[in-house]
Amino acid sequence: MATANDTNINKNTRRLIFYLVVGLLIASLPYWISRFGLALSTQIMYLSILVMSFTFMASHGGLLSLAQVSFFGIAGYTLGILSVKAVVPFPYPYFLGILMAAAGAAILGLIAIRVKAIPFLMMTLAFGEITYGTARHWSSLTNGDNGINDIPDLVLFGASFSAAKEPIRFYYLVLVIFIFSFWLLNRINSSPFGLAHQATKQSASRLEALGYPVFAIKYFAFIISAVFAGVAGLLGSTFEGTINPDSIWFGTIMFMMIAAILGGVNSPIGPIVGVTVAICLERFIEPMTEHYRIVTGAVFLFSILLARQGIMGFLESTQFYRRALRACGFD
Amino acid sequence: MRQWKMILTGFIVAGLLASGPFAATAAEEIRIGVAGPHTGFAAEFGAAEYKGAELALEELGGQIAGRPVKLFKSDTGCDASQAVKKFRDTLLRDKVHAFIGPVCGNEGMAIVDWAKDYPDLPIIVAYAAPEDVTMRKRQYNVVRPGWTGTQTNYYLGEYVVKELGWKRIIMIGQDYSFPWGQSHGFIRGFCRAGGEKVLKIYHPPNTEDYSSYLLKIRSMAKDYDALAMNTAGSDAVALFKQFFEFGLDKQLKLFGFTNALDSTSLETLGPKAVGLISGMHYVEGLEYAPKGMFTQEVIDRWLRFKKAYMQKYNEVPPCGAEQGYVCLMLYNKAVLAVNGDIENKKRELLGAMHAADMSDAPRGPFKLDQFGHATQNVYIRQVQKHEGRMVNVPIKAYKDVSQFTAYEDMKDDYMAQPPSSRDYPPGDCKDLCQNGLGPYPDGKCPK
Repeated sequence: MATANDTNINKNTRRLIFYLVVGLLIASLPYWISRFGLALSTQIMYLSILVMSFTFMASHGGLLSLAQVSFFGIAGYTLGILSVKAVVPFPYPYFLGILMAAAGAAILGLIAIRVKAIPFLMMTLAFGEITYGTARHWSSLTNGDNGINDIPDLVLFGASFSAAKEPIRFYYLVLVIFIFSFWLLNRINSSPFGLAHQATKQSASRLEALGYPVFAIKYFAFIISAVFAGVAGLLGSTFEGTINPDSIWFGTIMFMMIAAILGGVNSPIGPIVGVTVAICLERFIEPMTEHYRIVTGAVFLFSILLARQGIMGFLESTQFYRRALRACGFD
Repeated sequence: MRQWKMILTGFIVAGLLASGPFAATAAEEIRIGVAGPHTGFAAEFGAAEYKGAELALEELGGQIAGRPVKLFKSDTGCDASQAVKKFRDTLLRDKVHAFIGPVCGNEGMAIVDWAKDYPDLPIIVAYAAPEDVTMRKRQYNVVRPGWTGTQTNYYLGEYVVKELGWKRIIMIGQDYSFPWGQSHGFIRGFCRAGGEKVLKIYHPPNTEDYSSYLLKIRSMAKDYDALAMNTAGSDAVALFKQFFEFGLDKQLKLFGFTNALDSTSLETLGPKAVGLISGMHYVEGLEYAPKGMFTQEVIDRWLRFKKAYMQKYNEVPPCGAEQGYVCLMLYNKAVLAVNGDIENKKRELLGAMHAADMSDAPRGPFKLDQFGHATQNVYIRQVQKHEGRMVNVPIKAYKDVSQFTAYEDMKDDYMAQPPSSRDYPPGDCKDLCQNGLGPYPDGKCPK
């Protein structure tokens, strides 16, 4: 008994040390990394939120939703239109941005949740086409091809959070939101609702027989995922200071899919790993060769061939990773 | 299996390591980011810009003010958000001292707002043409030795009414900001000269089949005098060919706005293009101009540039190449003016950029106005065949046209007007005036 207690304490301290080291590393990042690295880290975090919203649906609900990028865009455009064209004061464009993303999911969900797998994917893609077309052609509202530029910098409690002038502050802001989103999503996943959500993927008919409202569970999960995508959209368009039709269409969808698959859909930290690797590949190979897309494509291809469950899925299957986990106090 | 893992990790690690040296750079080197699309439908414009800058650097012997120069090419993909990403990456990663670019209109609009956060960073816009880049949204650190859609088409509008007598026109163009800006300038010049109506038809970029548009045009062709092509690239070629296939040439005259009759597509258009007119600030057949239009000095400078470019790249220099060339030359002059001390004399450098004497530019002399845009010659051009090659030749020159065209003396009134868009200005000249949307250069509407 005593020994078991001992190891438990031991485990707890080891875990604490692990958290401390990782936390310190992330918190001190702005002070030892270059400005370029800081901008990359900020992007990695908000894009991770987007990819997490995608894997939330993909791993637990079994639904591949390409519409996450549209929710990202709806939130960004709401922010842009309200704060630039309608000059609505600070907090409201942000609240409405999230609300609009959720509303978009609520409308699309009514139709799309009724189908599964490929038809669902096609429907969300069609929704993406609709949002892209709206952004591009409704030019009196969205400025069409020019997009909405000059999205104002965030000012909280009298302090400017300009992504260009105060990159460190902006980094911490995104970091806080990112950690909160990460924690909340994992909380949702392990809650009774989250477990029921996972069960819809495994056997919807049995769940139905047990008296669970399967449609409602999926529907709300979809709206929750849209809220997170919306948060990513708000952070992204504030960081870039601009949103335009191309940023909510195929390039971003491809990036989201690649990052999700590269990182591993089933692991909670898969999205972070995937986004980090995908962004670093792109940004560091680009200056070396004009044909960086071929290189990133090849890396992607090989990782699918060698590790179908993504980098995290591959790591989890190795002895080394398990030993490292145990060393850090995780079972 | 294990080997593959090793290769994969090795590959990533090698990539990260190899990118390390980019952060550490020599102090005396001048680094210039050359940003433009190298993928997508506008790739040829980005390539032309880079070639032009490369040629300029070669002529300068690879250095400015005794400091070696390195160009950093980045691909903006004609996508505004990608442009912002690439500009930020190039600035933070490669620590460039200045930018040449961007190329597409939407990129220009996004970058001029981005530039606000970096007031000391010189950005020399190469090809992006929305007037607001150097007008309503102007930034002191953004200059444009290039063009605007309005600047190059205002006098074309005047010309077709006064010299050709075409008063009712159908305009067909791609649905994005650059063609909107071109129609804006054209309609203002056209209405002021006494034109009646421009019917605007916009279609999505990358349209291959124009039959639905052309059928519509054919049904109302009897009410109109001419068709204006407000497209570029492969769209312009498809439209041109189908215009003749539909037999519309018997009912309507055809002409183009600026790059609808670009030097790169003339050969593809074939002999039917001979005689067509367009308006632009750049002509690749400047040496064939009527005698007396240019001094021998201007022609010699142009020919020297054209020969150098043709020797290096084996093609006639398109407009984008000349503008990439001029951008680098302008930066060169500004750096020389501060004796190469670009790190400490940042404001002086920007001042020198605005004041740079560009009377030796290949396209013809120009200077930058108070907002940093080129005041230059605008030509009415005609496609002619010379020495077995089809080229645009100037047939009429408007000297020293500013970005405000005929509104030079009423800049504030002009800028109080809405910027050009899909719906503004209206095509019917009566609406332009009745809604108080003028103003005409004299501040009055014609009776």
